[in-house]
Amino acid sequence: MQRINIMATLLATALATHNPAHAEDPCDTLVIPPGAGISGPSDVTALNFLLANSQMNEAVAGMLFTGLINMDKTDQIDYAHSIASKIEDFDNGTRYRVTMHPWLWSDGKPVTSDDVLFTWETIEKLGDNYVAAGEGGIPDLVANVKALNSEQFEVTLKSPANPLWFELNGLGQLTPLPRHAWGNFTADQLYENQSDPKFFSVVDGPFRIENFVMGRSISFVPNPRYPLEQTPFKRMVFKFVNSDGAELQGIAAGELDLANLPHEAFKAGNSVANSHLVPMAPPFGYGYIGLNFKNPKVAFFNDLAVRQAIQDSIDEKTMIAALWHGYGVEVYGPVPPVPPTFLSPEAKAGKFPIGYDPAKAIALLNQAGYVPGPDGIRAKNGVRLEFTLIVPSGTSTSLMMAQMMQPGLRSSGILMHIQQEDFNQMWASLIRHLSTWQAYTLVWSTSPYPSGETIFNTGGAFNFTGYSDPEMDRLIADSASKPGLEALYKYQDYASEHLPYIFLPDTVNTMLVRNGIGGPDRLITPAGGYNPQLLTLNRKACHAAHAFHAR
Amino acid sequence: MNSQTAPATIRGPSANLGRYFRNRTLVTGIALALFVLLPSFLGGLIYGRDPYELHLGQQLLAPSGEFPLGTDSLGRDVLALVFDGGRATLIVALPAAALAFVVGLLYGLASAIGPAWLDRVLMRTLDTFLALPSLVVLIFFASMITLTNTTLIMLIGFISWASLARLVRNEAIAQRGRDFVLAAEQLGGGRWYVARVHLIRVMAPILAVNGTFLIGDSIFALSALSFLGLGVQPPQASWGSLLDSALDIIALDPWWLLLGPGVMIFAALLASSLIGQGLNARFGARS
Amino acid sequence: MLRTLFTRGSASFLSIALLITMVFIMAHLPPGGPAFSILGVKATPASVAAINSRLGLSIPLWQQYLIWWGHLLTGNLGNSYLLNRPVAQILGSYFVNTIAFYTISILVSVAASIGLGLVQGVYYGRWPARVIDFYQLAFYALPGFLVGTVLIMFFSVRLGWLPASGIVDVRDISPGIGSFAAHLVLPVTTVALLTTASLSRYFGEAVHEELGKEYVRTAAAKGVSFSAILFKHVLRNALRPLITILGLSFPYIFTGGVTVETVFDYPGLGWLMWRSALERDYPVVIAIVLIIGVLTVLGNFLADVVNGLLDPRASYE
Repeated sequence: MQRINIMATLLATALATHNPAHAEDPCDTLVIPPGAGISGPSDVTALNFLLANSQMNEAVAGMLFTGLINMDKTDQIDYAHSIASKIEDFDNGTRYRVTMHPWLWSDGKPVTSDDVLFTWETIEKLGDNYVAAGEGGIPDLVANVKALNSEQFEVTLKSPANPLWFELNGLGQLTPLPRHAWGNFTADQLYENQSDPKFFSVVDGPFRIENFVMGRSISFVPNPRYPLEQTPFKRMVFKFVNSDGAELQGIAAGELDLANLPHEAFKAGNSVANSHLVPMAPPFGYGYIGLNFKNPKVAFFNDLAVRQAIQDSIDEKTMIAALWHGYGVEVYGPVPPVPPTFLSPEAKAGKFPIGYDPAKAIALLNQAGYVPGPDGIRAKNGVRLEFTLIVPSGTSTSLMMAQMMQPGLRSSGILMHIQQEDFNQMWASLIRHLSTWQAYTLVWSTSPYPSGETIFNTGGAFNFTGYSDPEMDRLIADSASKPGLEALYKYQDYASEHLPYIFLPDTVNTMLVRNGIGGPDRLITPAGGYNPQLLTLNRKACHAAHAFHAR
Repeated sequence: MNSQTAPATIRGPSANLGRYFRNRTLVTGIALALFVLLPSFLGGLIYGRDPYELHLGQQLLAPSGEFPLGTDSLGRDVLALVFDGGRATLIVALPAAALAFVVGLLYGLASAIGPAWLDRVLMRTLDTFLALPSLVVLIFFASMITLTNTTLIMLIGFISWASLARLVRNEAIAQRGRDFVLAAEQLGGGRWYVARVHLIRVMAPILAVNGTFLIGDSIFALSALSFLGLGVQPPQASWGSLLDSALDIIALDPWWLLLGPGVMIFAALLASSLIGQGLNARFGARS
Repeated sequence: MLRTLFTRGSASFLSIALLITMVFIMAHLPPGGPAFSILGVKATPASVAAINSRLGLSIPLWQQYLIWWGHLLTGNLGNSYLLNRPVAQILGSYFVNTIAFYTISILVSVAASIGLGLVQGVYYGRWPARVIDFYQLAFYALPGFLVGTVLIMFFSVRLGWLPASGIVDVRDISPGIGSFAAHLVLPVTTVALLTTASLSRYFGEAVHEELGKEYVRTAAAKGVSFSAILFKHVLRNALRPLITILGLSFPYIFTGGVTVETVFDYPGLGWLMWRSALERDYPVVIAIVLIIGVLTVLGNFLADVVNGLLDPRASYE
């Protein structure tokens, strides 16, 4: 009897003290793939925005460090969400005084102008390793940066600049970094630590890093010291996925809360249970074809008539309808029309779009002396209008777009071959300014102030085509130095006329969002701002959606 | 996934010399091989559809009268893709197998009939080479080179020869001591001449059997690489890449995307295995 | 025994040394620099030059080779191009995941192979053996990535019984054993199906051969029960070649494992190698090739040792 009693007691004690696994509410954690809303699936590999070499890295860095200047949906400065509260310019755009909001680092210390100075000094120290070197005049145009008091600093330039251009493209790079945490590190050490989460323990943005499993996931928790909107989630996880299809798989299986819907799965996306489709606002950018002006095999690219004929042979409207189910924006110039903040009056009036005009294309080519051969392909002086377009592999959309262009071009007498190449290899041959390629297609994200430096000016850092036109150089310089928008408008119109790129539609991402998650339209701003803290949670709907998956 | 080197024991009916058709294994193997070869090289021509034409608005359709194997996510005819993919796979895998065969044969012969120190060096290197899983090495190199049909043939050819080399070397050494070989050498035949004419002739059955297995290995290697994105590059379809695309949208249950390439790969590998075993039975058992 | 160990051990060490040299040569064959992999979209000629000097790619090759050895011996596997972190740090959890995955798969495969092999050997020529024959033949021709994909389609997508990918649900803050187990079922099944197909064939042959031997007839004549013969003698003798085959199969387990890991998005060494190969992150790829090579050499060595322990003379009692 006694033995049984002891057993019984032991059993009872065991049962009494046994904790059932604490039922975590799955709705407390938001799981999304990085790039949701911005781009296709991509990894996060680094957290330091000064060294961020990809869109996703920049976005994540922006979640940790609030920008000095953040843009809103209409691509204008959003002072309510920026560290800067006021910006004044003096001396014809040579001197800029920035006043900062009171702000705290996550360890309680205040964010001061000294932190901005630290950022500036680090940019200088990094030299060529700084990823944005050359954009917006940083660092070459800056004479000095000095602190006036703990909440104000002044930037003086070497020559007058267009305040709009400098504030949006240049000043915005001076996001404060914590001197008290990083002041003692060399540039090399910063470089080596760029993906170590422990290094990033002091932040001032809406999130702190909880965990970073390289190549698999990165998880964030809210930063309680962030003064603006706090996220309703206790935890947010970026789960890296490898392909568009994997995002779809994630939503269908209940493992992801939102995901990009790949365009080809659009129909199927409509039928994924417990989720709804949300088209995102168009990113501020456009697709384009870069033509190699320095390759003698395709010297005809230098002929404006040929470029215009090519542009006229491309039916953007049908492309958008067929490939993106209507979610896309036609672009015919270097300034995307959505949001229309920087669009020139001529563009707004409809002078450009040139649009799909095959008759005009043929007329242009006839006038320029390109005669159709027996197979319909035009030639002049023995040189056929034939070229190879390099398309990055990894996204089917570029390929489909290229394939859609082929028939239109052929009707105009231009033969375009398609060759897919791994993106890194493609980029390598572009960077090296090799002359082996003839044409390539990519997507360009315009800077917040959509000037053409780095792409269209002679010798620009991202000018791979070799485009060189003194008038264009003058207009670009003017848009950066003369105040107001006039110069920008002139540059726009000139570029739309002279086509340094062939412009292609700006594609829009559609997202699949699980029921219960709200506010996906606030996830991104056209200028590339990434604000997952603005996503909302409807707990009841979320539970219902989860219950479906817990079969 | 093992590559078969030393043929094990007899399978199927006992060897009946000259009676090919009673060798069910061999016949089935050849039938399967035709099932794979004919559609891959002739199917595209007969069927006539462009595999890369995008039928917009008809994406991801299940098989129907118009599209016997349905369409993929870009709206392409899957049956046409399977044909073209087969062609693309085989025009790389078959030459690669041939290359591996030649390299392995030469390496093994050199090891067997050369000086002893060469044998030791070559075999030691071979062992080290064999220590690495072939796919791992393939992935390694594939990440470094530009991937074209030619480079793929060379890559797969230069990786797969190892097991054949060892087999050839062992066999050649075993055969080297036999009377007729010694006689030929006495009569003044140089080492390489002896090797070419006599050793190879004597080893022919083993070479045939293992050569066939080599084809299967080659097809497997190429399909695996293509599946991983490191083989035949898009937009050219191949069996491996078709499977990869299917896996990508597996959440949509696209069984018709799996069926074509899956059956083809299965048939090809099975054919290689059966023909090899059938030949093995035909030529008699060796332990 | 000790002498064999020593000779085999030094042979293995030689193999490893040769392996390391081969990998070094392979790693430095491709022309061009890794700068573009590291810098991605932000590569400019100036930053490329900065990277190249930082990585020390300009010193003579033989010096790089010595430095390579020095690094390896101190456990320095280089820095990932993509993450700028030491490769050795990155590999840790992936290594553990792969070891766990393969160990479980091998255990399951061996158990299944022994079972199937016994049936195949005992029922040689009769229908149970024919069925197993067919299974072995079929799965020789079914690559891992095909089998895995089909399993996912049936068990994850259509039936929803098991997860299609990953190692745990990312949403779980502290995943329990159940989560790990659920995510391992399909991958292990895939690898086991394939490995068993080849292992069981060798085992079945061995069993069949053993059963035909003199001592079995003698024991039966003496009145020893069939199961005693089977499990005490035949099994032990037939196991010996199995161990050798197992050791030799290590490379193939890794081969199969790589594709299975990618199909199931399982974060093991094979998966990491694949991703790194796609992203051209060479230090990681090279490190994994080395590790796998060393593991296989060690695996063979281990199989030899175990074989030596199961000395044939001990089984003839």
